[in-house]
Amino acid sequence: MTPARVERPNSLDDLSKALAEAHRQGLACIPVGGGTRLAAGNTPERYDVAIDLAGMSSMIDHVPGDLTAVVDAGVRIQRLQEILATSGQRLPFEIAHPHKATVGGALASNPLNLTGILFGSIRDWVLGMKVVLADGTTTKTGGRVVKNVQGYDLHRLHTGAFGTLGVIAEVALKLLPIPDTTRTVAAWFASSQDAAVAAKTILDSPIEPEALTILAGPEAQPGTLGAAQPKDGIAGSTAALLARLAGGPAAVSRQVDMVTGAAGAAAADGYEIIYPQEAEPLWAIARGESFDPNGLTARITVKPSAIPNLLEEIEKRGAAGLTKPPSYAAHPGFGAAIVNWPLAKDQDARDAARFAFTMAERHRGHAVIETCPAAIKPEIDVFGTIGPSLEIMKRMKQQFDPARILSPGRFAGRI
Amino acid sequence: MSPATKSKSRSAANAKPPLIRDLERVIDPRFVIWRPEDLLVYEYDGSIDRSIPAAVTVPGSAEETAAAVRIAKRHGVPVVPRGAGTGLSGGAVPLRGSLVVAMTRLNRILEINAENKIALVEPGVVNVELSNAAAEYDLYYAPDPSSQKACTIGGNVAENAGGPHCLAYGVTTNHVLGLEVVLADGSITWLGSDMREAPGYDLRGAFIGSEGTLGIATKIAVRLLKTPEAVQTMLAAFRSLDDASQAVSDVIASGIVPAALEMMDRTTIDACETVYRPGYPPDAQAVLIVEVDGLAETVAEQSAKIETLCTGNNASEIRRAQDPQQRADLWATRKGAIGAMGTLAPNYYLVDGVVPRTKLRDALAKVMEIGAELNLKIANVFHAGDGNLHPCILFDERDPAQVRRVIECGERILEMCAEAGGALSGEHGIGIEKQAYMPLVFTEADTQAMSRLRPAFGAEESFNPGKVFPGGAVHGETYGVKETGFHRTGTADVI
Ligand SMILES: Cc1cc2nc3c(=O)[nH]c(=O)nc-3n(C[C@H](O)[C@H](O)[C@H](O)COP(=O)(O)OP(=O)(O)OC[C@H]3O[C@@H](n4cnc5c(N)ncnc54)[C@H](O)[C@@H]3O)c2cc1C
Repeated sequence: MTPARVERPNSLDDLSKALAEAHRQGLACIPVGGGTRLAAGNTPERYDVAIDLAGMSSMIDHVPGDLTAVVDAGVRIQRLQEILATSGQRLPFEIAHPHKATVGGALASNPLNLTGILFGSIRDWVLGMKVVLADGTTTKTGGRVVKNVQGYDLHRLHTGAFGTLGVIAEVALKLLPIPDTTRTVAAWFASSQDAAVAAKTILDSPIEPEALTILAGPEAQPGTLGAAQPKDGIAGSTAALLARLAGGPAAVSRQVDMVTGAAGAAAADGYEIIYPQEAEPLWAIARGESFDPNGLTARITVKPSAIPNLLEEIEKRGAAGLTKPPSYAAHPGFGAAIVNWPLAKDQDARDAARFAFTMAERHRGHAVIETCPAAIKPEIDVFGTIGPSLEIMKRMKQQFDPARILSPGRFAGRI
Repeated sequence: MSPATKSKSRSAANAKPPLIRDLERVIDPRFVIWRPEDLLVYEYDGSIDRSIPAAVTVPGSAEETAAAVRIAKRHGVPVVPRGAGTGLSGGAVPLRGSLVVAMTRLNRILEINAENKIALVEPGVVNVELSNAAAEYDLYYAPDPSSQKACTIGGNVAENAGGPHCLAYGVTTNHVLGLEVVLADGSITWLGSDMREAPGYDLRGAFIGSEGTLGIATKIAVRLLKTPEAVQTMLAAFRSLDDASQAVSDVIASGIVPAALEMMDRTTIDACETVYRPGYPPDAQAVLIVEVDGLAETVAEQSAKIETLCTGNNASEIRRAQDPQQRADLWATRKGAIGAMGTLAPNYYLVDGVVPRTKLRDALAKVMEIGAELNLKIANVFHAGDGNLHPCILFDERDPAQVRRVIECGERILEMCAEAGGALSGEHGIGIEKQAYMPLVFTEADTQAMSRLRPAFGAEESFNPGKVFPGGAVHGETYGVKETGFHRTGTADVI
């Protein structure tokens, strides 16, 4: 869909005026950040004005002593991280294409955090926000201190709302120090089940990896792991386990030993211990950057204990039904898998979507289709089934945007 | 006229108001409380305000809770959920002749799923009991309010409670995955899930910290953490508050986020010495309790670094807990500090303001200055690592002039916090107590946006009316401070 007009606000004031005007005219607005997740969500009912927030990116008010930063929504994640890093700090939030994705866009669309196992979702790092509502009213929620229970936590509601309740203009974030030492262990296995066994040993041990991901499939092949080519003799591997370990040097060295031990005990074909820079291409795969953008990508959330079974079923189904096998990045500690099916025809997309929803249901979890061909979107709600609380969500939309000008139809239940 | 007063004018046989008769049809009459003398214990919580409920019921299930809500609705009576009543902002104090729905009987831990590190509990479970039960699986529930031996998980959810260990691990909202709630129409629904994520609006996040105004939580799914392999608790004594504050800033700046970083000033130490006899250095003007946990290597490295930073700020003494008993003693003193205030004054008033951590030193100086100007003694015992102040203003309620100065003192401290870019409350909530100060930090547009949550949850004024928002508690609706007194300083062993 293409909008008739693009608004490019440079300030909170501009943004407020643009929305007030659109509201007066009843024009449907979609906020645009880095554009990395514009394809996510249901197809909007109407799309008249694109609100491009790239211009709202000048403020990065970082107070290292407070471990907090207040930033404009249009600031790119990568740029924010670079600035924080000059003071030895970071936002523990790692998503695909950080050089393009903006803070506001990431918050609004709530992509999976690679480090979620230890640091949770982005909602856990938001301290407050300035949000412009549908009629142009500017509102503040929360604050910029790390503990705050004044008023309702509206910022949690706007997080992951895809801009359907308001446009996020400014965000206060909680930060963490960057650890002294970080190492990645990559281990290769004959099957994802073996990798899952190693993962479980790690999860049951005292150590707490920052990220723990099982990769498998053509787009996440051990053989294509860029700088970190696997050693000889593991050509038969079909799955890799990545573990990122951080802390002081002594703690990291023990964690590395523990992880390599767990991999060995689960019959790994081989492993490598990798420095941060060399590991980055591997983690980019884990963030889903090598997935086929024209394929169907599903995010399936289940309990951690269901992950091995889920992976088994994905692989079985991939080989039997669909034209091409899927690739995936699964996070066994967090309990989620991002699965990417390359598609030969629209029917493949329907099959893959149905499969993802069925799997979610079987494990009493949920699935969200993050990318899929526009042609099949009208047939499904990409957010899956919400349940009885959908009624509250609908009333929430009614309360915040009765004229339905903010991304109408894009959210769960076509809110 | 409330049903309670009506009953006085009637004969005993037909004294039961219709609300009570209807409640007794679905809830065991032993758990429907309505005689005025029995209602007295439900007119207050840990705060300064009091107001008598129309009645109290103690349902035995989510379904009974829902039925009570439906009956109250039919009678046009608002509902106030109640946990243990330890809240410090008047959250559980029933305004407008409400029906109090107490969670006391919903106190079962329904499931501890060790493999997935989650627990499903009823709201009346006492905070510490969850961690005690989880310990069997080497797991624990991280948010640990100082009141954890008494307060409930439901109350924690409603207030988004914090605690000493929230510095590294986050507050209640970071640990609750989902909740079953009874809504205003008496329906029962789930918000969130029992997994780390759920699609749709984060209604879970909107409900947590809503102070009982949107519904009643009847089941709560929480995340449990692995018991760390190693823990080191340390006590560092300083000859000045400034040095202690600087040590706090230096620890945070050094790239360590300790599990806990708490401060007690001299006045607090005096109170604790009388009750617990921890034997702190007599010349200490402030002590820090610092805890680091995790892998043994991490703990060794970080505790050494913290020791150096404290020494660099003129710490006069540093003690390390040598065994679990010494650690428990250090925490018992800290968590019992407020209970020990009774040795210093008949009453205290605890202010829950927050400042950015970099402004801690100035903020503390300011607090003491305000206290001195108003001729009031203040004890500080607080979550220093988060900048969450807890000045305890000590006073005697029998002196009305002093009471007026106490209120002014609290007000000026909160103004100072707001000016410093902080918050009115770090963990105790707005309730009745702080609603008048909301305009210090929020515009009318801000609070109006917040107020939209009530109709969205279908709640309007049916749950906990008169709370959170400015102007909610009408003047004269609660008993004044003068008549009934501020929070009395209790016995030390309560919490
Ligand atoms: C000595 C002392 C120390 C304290 N230390 C801390 C601390 O370190 N950190 C901290 O955060 N707090 C602290 N508190 C404050 C208090 O203990 C917390 O706010 C606690 O969460 C309240 O729990 P409760 O069960 O007592 O709730 P109550 O006081 O009974 O109720 C509090 C609020 O929760 C609502 N509520 C209760 N149950 C439910 C439910 N099931 N569904 C919906 N709403 C419900 C009530 O309506 C009310 O608004 C302290 C209090 C004292 C007295």
